[in-house]
Amino acid sequence: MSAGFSQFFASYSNIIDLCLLNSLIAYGLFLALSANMFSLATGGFMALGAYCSVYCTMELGWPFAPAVLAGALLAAAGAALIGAPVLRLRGDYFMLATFAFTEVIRVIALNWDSVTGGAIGIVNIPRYTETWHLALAVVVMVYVVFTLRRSYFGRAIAAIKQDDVVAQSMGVNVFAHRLSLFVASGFVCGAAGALAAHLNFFVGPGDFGLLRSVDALIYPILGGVNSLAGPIVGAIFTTLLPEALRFSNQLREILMGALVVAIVLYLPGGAMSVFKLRRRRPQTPGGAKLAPATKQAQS
Amino acid sequence: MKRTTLALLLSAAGAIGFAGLAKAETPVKIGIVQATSGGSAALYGVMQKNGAELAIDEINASGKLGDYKLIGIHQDDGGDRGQTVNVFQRLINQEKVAVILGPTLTTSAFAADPIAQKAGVPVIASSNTAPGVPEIGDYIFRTSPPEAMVFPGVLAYVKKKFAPKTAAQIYGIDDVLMKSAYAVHKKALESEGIKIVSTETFQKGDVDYSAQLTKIKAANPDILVIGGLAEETANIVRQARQLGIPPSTVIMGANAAISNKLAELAGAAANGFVVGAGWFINYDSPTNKAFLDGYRKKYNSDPDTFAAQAYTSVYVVADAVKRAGGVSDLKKFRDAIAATKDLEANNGKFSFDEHREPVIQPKVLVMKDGKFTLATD
Repeated sequence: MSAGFSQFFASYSNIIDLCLLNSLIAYGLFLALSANMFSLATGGFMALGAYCSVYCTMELGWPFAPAVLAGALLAAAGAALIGAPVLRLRGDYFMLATFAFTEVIRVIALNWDSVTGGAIGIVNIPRYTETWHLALAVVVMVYVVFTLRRSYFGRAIAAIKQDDVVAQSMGVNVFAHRLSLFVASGFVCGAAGALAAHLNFFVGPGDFGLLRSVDALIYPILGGVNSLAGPIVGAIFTTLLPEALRFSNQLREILMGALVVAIVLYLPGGAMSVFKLRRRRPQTPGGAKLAPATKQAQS
Repeated sequence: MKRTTLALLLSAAGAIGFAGLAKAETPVKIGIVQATSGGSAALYGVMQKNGAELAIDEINASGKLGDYKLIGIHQDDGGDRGQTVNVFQRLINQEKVAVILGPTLTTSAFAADPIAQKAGVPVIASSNTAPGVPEIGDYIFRTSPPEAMVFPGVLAYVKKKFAPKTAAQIYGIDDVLMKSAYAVHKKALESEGIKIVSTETFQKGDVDYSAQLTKIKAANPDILVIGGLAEETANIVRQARQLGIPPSTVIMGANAAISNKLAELAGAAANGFVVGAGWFINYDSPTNKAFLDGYRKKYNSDPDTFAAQAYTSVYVVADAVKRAGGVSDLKKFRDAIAATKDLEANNGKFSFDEHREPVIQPKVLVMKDGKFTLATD
């Protein structure tokens, strides 16, 4: 039995690691999305976390834990730095500005040869990230999000999500709440970048581009942005899908696209809204009190 | 999964038994990790998969391995190195392959090869040309010659024929391959005592190079060395001639620029374009002829360098299986691969050097009327 398990783990450990890592990223994005910030800065944050932590472990000889923390803090600092001016922008403009951030970081990584290895990247990174590190990070993250949603801060965020003008008029400091969430999102994505860098022996600037940012957005949106389990479901689903569809090389990409489109079309609230459909008219918990009012306001 | 494989093996064995071969077959599982989806990586991946599968079929049909039967297991990694690692882990731990051919991209190799190295499973790449791949460990080989092995020979030919004094370089700054090719070109030019008068860069996706080429034209170099992929190189060559860089300026390209597309895209401007290669389609040898015939028959199209190198990889494996007497001892099998010497391959005699890099005679090719032809001094 244990032999079977160890063989299973040896064959699939990387898939498990990727599921956990992507779940962590998904929660990082979930924080931003919970205040309606469609951030494309994930790639940039991850790059900051990855390069910084690799520099700490390989050049400065730091232990792994402080290196990850340093990477996460640098990404958080980056988030604070760009968040302050960019968060005054809304909707499309915010998205564009965060996309520009990711691109700037990518181009810096491409040209700063002495630290990032330029286009060639950094090879032979020691493998410090263990599966339990990732699992622990996800558990902590779920707990943090869980408690956050029940706190005053969480209610304020929920109000901002529904309508930030109304929230402002009720005395919620919209800018401060958004900025702190954005910094938290940067911290989590930076930590994920640091963990990712020490997982697969190699980092290069191509790892952290637009594609990474868009993927990261897809996880929570696909899973559902209103449910606590949404990000993890979306991340695991998108990570397992290419493996599950491996039987058909030709159809793989088409099937993946079709499945994603189907979810978006039929479950616009994300995959987790399946449960809500079945429950019909739920006894409205939490933010639902606000919902009828905002619906009227929008219509 | 295991049970199905077993069932498949049994039925295969059964089928062979019916066919009248009384011998017991010993399977040699070969993992083929090539991207067949996922953008431009698939261009290279499909070619290598084709080349490898053709070689496996040929070797099994020829019966030259006696009781050993090669079984290719192809897995698509989509050019995404996370998936490459997934596939490597599964092939090594579940399918228990004896050797892995691939992966398509160098970045995937850096992420996945250490896993094979640790597990003691040999890896033979046929498209990774960036420096540092075989350095990952002593189980990592490649049949694709790195730029450093090809370019100096080409430069020596150009120097002998045109006696250039000055050179200009232009290269893709955001591409792993081209950036390392640039370093190789620069070093070779310097060691030949050719002065570099101008260095320009471009980025992936650029289509207009007139700004850079105008500067290069002003520097009036004797040779122009391009570090770009086929499409980029073709555009640069065409625009260079349009901007009036004279035919007396010899244009040279990187190994990766060899493609039949080059002539199509650059047209007459490509005449006289010089490039080095480990293999090329018109290489005249019986082995290459057999390869071309087999490939055209099976796939109805022409192979490229990558298909040729993947084909060679499988022949290297077959040769090593024979010399090692099977693959039950992977250490012994690895040593046999490392000891590959003067194997008759589709690009001449093939060996591995002590750094697990291919040893082949680089060929200098000159573009003539839309075709690469072997340079004759």
